[in-house]
Amino acid sequence: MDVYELVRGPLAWVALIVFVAGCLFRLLSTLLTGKKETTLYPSTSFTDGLRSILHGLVPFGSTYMRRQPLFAVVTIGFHLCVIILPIFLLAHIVLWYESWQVLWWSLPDWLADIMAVWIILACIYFLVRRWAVPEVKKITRTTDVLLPVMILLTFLTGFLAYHQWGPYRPMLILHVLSGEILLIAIPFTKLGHMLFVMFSRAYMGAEFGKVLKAREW
Amino acid sequence: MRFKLSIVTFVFGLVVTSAVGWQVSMAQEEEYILAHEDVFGNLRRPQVGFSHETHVDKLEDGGCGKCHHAPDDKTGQLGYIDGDEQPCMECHGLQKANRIPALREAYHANCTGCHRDQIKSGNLQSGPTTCGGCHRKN
Repeated sequence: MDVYELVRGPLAWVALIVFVAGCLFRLLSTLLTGKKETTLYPSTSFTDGLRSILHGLVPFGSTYMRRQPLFAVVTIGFHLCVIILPIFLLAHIVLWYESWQVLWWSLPDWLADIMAVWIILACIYFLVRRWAVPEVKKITRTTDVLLPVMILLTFLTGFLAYHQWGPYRPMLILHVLSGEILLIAIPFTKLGHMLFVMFSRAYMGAEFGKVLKAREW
Repeated sequence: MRFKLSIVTFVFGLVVTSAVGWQVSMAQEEEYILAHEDVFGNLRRPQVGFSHETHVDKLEDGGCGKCHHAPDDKTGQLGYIDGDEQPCMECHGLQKANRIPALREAYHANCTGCHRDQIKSGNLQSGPTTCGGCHRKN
């Protein structure tokens, strides 16, 4: 039984199906089972919601980003890289072709390297912050440590496998496995914020903008 | 005595020359280095070492067409034409053309595809299936 074939084949199917189905399930159950708020002034406002989303996306738009500029730079880079790198990495694209005969543009390898290193350093930064900053330490739970560790492991093993530093096959298998664990974790953990941040941001924006006639932080 | 010796020497020389001539005429090397900088430009992965000999041994008869598949003049069907074994890049260029896959895609599909099929059907001693298995950084 070939372990690489196992993680490349059946486990990859499982991870992708659980990821897609899980995201759909979480999205639909959140949107459809939410109760209509019984208040005098309902806070549905598309424009306010959109404004708030954009406010949160623009670098140094929100007050927290302005107050913690280093954190803002680290996390903006981290989020951009963590989304762009897995999709546009040559090695992943070659695998998609191997399975489905689809092909798309790939990042140059030097840029992919920089992005991977940024992510690895950012994960270390987040973990140190969880321990060193008191107001963050107070609210840190196991999941808040476990998830950055999983992301760190995934990108670290991928980086090491690409450079062929260390035992190659085990490193590659670990990388594929940690990626699959992450995919499965996304719909069912805090990583699901990638699905929900738009909605919670829009709600806050509508609540502050339409009802309180104020800008939120 | 001398006559017998010269006969033996002559036959021996004939055998050796034929063997060398056969090898040369078959144009096969011990191990090919597949790099193709002329097609790919700067290589993004380490070059691949390919043992033609190993593959000839493993594939035995009828296996040549796995790689040396040329289109038939009349039908256009891909098949093995004995004596017309061209290198891959004769037909497969940098970009996909008509229905001919690009060189990199052709290599990956043919090489790793076959190796993975072999492993899935139980032959665990087949060739590499991972990136670095072929693109070995030495």
